[in-house]
Amino acid sequence: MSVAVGVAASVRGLEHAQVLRGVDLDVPAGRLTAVVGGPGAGKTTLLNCVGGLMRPDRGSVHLGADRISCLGDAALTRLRRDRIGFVFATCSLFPTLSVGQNILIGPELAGARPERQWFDKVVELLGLAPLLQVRPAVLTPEQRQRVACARAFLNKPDVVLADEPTSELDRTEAAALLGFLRMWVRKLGQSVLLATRDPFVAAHADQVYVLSGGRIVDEVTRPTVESVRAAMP
Amino acid sequence: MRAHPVHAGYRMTAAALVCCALMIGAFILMIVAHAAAYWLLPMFAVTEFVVYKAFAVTVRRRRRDVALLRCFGASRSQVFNGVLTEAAWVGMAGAAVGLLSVFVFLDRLTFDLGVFAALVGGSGAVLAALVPAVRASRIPPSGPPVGMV
Repeated sequence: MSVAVGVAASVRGLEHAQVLRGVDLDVPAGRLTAVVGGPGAGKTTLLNCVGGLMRPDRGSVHLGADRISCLGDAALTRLRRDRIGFVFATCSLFPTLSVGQNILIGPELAGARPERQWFDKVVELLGLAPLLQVRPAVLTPEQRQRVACARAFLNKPDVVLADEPTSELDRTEAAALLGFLRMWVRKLGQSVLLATRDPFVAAHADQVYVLSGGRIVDEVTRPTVESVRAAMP
Repeated sequence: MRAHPVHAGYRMTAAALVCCALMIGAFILMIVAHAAAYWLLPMFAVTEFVVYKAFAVTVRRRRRDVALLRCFGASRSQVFNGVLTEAAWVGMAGAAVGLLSVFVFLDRLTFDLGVFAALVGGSGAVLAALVPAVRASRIPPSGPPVGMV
C-alpha cells in the first residue's frame, strides 16, 4: 500500500523541551488515520510538521515520495497551497470573506480558475449551496466545520490534516462530520490525518496512533471506543 | 468591487482612512500652493508618520488572518504586495482629497495636476507602508492559536 505521509521526526519546543521525541509513523494513502493523545502530547506539532508549517529539528517528513522537511519557505508555501488541506478546530474561516470565497481561497491565491463542476459537487455533497453568499459569522459551529472541510477537500490534496475538527461540536454533529470524512475517504480515496483527544472520535478511523509525551506509545488497527480508551495512558 | 482574498482580515477603520486621506490631501494642497520648504518638510514627515501608524496598527490587528492566509498558501510576496496595494488606494483617496481642496481653495483643476496628485499621494502612501508591509510578510504561517475562541 502506498504511503501518503511518512514522519520520523524530533522537535524541540520552547526552552528546549522535547515536543516530539522521535515520532515514527506512516499515514497510508486512501485511509483515515487518527492520532490520539491528551493535551500537550504533541498532536498539533506533529500536524504542523506534516503540513509544512514547521520544520522538525531532526529527522524527516515525506509527503508521498518527496522529502518536505528540507524545503524552503517558498516551496513549502506552494506545497501547502496545492497538496495539503487543513481543517482546524475553530476560527479558521476568514470573517470578511463570504462562505463561497472562503472555500475558493486556494485557487484564488494560486491565480487558478476553479473547476466549476467539482466545486458544485463539493458544495452539494456538504449541503452548503444555500450558504455560499453569507458571512461565516452567522453560521453554526457545525456549518463552519463543513465549510472548512469543503475548502480542504476542494484542491484534492495529497493529505487532509484535521486538528481537533470536532472539538466545538456535540456528539451527533461530530458523528455526522466524521461520517462525511469517512465517506470522502472511501469513495474518493482521500488520505486524512486526524488529531483528537477524544476516543469516540478516534474510533471512526481506520488506524489509530496513540501519542503521549511526544512518543507513539501504541497503535490500534480497527479501533473501537473501548480499545482506544484502553490504549490511551 | 470583489476584494482579493489577500486583503482578508481586519479592515483599516474609517477614521484612520479619513485621517490619512486628509493629511495627504493637505500635503498636496501645500505643494501646489508653493508653501515654503520649512512648512513642507515637517508636513511631509507628519503625513508619512500618520499613514505609517495607520498601516502598522492594521497589520498588527490582522496577524491572525495573515498567518491563516500563509497557511492556505499565500506567499510572502502576495502578502507584501497586498499591503502595498492597499496603501496605493489610500494614496489615491488622499490625491482625490488634495485635488478637491486645490479646486476649492485655489480654483485650479487641470489634468496635469491630477497626475501630479496621484503620483505624490500614491508614492507617499506606499513609502509609508513599506515597513508595515515587510512586517506583514514576515508573519509566519500557522493555524489559529490554541484555545482562542
